[in-house]
Amino acid sequence: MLSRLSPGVFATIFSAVYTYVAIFDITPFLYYPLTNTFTTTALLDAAGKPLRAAGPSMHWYGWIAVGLVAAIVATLIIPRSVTQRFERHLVWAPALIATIAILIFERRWLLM
Amino acid sequence: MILTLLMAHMLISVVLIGAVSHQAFSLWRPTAASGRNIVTNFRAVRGSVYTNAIAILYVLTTIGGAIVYPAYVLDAKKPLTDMSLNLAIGAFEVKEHFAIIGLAIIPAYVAYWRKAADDQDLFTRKVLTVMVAGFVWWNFMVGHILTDLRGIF
Repeated sequence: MLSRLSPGVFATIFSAVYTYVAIFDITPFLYYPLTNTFTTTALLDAAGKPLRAAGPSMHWYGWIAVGLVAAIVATLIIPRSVTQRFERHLVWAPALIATIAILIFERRWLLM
Repeated sequence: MILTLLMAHMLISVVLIGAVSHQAFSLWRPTAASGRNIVTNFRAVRGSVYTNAIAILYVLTTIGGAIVYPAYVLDAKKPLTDMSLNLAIGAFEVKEHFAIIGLAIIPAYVAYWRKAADDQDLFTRKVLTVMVAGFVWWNFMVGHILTDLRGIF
């Protein structure tokens, strides 16, 4: 069973989906560590601004969840035999592209 | 509790960085152990025996990092933001992304080391190993520099 699952599909979908949702900040839930709260929408005050009492929100767990679920589903659907040729030579390429995309995106911290 | 977890996270990452460095050097610059030269002996290891340990340690380190991350957001990121240390914050943002991209390639890394006898996959194995090593080194260095910064300021 395990040998039919493609690590290449897992690597490709996980790194691509994670990078996409991280760059465009798409998350199904947020975590507020100060109040130990998970929510599906940002906590706002009456003026529509972030609720100061709730502290900072974390999106990282949501991005991981989206990437991981997408990768698991894709790995279960797409058999290894379909991707074997690509996988042998280029299994690392999508992750490398994701790395470059992340570095370009996070350049913003240098420009602040 | 968080301090204990942070220490465990650090100690596991020390073992991980040692293992992955040995493996990467032995793969790219293989040699036989000889004499008293420490560099030669450092890369004269059988890289394949490290694979499972590296994969498990990588997953454990990532889980540990995910557990202590909220403490970083509350206790370290805010002072860094207040001091406008944007380069440090950006380096940590890259660290969190690298940890996950590395996690994504871990199954492929294990799969291609299991076929270590197959020379046709040598280049793929080399690239995957260098990527894992690169992520581990970046994350290790950034984690330690930020911990030091928090102590200094």
